[in-house]
Amino acid sequence: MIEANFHKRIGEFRLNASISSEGMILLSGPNGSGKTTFLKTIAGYLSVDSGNIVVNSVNITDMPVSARKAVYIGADSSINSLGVKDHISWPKSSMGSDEKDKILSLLGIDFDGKVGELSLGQRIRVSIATAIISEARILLIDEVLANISKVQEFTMALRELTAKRGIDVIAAMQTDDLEYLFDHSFSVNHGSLSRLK
Amino acid sequence: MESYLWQVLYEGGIVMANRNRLKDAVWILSIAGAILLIMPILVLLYYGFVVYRSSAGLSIQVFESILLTLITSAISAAVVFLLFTPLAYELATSRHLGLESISDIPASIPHPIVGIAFLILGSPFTPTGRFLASIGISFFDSIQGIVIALTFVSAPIYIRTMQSVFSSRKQDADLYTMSLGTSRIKMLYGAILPSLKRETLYAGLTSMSRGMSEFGSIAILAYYVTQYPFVGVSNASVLIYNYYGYLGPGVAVTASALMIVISIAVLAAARLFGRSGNWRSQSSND
Repeated sequence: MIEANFHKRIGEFRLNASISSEGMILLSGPNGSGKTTFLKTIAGYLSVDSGNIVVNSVNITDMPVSARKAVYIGADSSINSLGVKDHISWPKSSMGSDEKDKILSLLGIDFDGKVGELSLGQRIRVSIATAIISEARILLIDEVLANISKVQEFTMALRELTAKRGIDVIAAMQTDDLEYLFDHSFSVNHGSLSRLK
Repeated sequence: MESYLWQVLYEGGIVMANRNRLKDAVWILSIAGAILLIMPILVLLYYGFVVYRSSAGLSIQVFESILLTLITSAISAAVVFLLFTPLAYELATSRHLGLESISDIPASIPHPIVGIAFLILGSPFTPTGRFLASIGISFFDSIQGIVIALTFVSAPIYIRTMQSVFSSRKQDADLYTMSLGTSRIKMLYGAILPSLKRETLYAGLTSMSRGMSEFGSIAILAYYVTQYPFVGVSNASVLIYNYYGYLGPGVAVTASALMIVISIAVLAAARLFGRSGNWRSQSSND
């Protein structure tokens, strides 16, 4: 469950975010509407000017990025110098190897090699799998789902994996074409969020 | 065929593809500047190896001196890498006016002053010197003295180069890695630097190259070394200065030519590694 009520100003741009939701959440809006600013603020890369961010009853507003368990995944979010196996082993995790293998299988990670040499879609699959294995509270997926082949199948698998582990997912996209795959949907325009579903 | 030939010459850096460059004042002045930089080197190499060819300038003492210079500058480059990579990353990812200014200090003060500063720092008459002596460290006429001086004077070039490398990257991977629960130091050394090996090596070799050219601080702090296996050996720049004063320009020119060949080899290696670095292609695309 994520409850975020905060204000953030960057130059002339103002983000007024108010959201209380859980499960699979879609944020849709055009370029410059504030989606990335919202996600990066939740992740802790940007600080709030005022307000609070609470995830699963834990106030993470003033926590450092590394302690929030809110993993940000953008197009360049992978550790490219590592191989796939080392990548998924990078974060501390109490998961056993069987559980990790199940996650990889469900997310269609049947390939190996150096992450930096994989296709963008494959890198994103690995990054999301690693985030789940890190036992994150929330995944913040920034406009990268569209780069994954068989996105519907992938999103269904992601839903199954995250629901089972109590992980919330906020995925930002420019369009709401995939809204039917999400529990809740918000549109973002000029720094304001409004609920669609 | 002709256009292909021009392309080859252009990519080889021999001429610009557009022949109208010969009417371009910027191009002509660039070539004039390059000639000014290369001419003294070429003349020195010619007189050193062809005209004088002094046997004293190619003696075992000169080779020992160059070996000392190579070793101390390589150690200082390693120290610079360990100590100043976090600072370069910090400057690339956050605004720190104070740290920015401090990073430029070694480049803005006369280097004999650097030698004097470390001499005082390590003097038995100061608390810092007494502390260093108590743990067995002496800067005066020692290898560690040369290394600390070279580390100090070559740090800015490494910091600025790596700052540029870090700045040219998108920081999404850093945010991702940290949000997985990774500390910044583990992220820097475990995730970022392994993907920047060539760029880091380029910055380290450029820093080493700068260290090899140092004279002012070493002449004050460690005119010659009193430690095994370099007892009585001076750094190359100091030795060449000595030769110029006591043995005449012929010997100094030959020894200088030899030193320049070594320095150019290090610089060429740095260029080779830097050439394919991602930060350069990204910068050129911006």
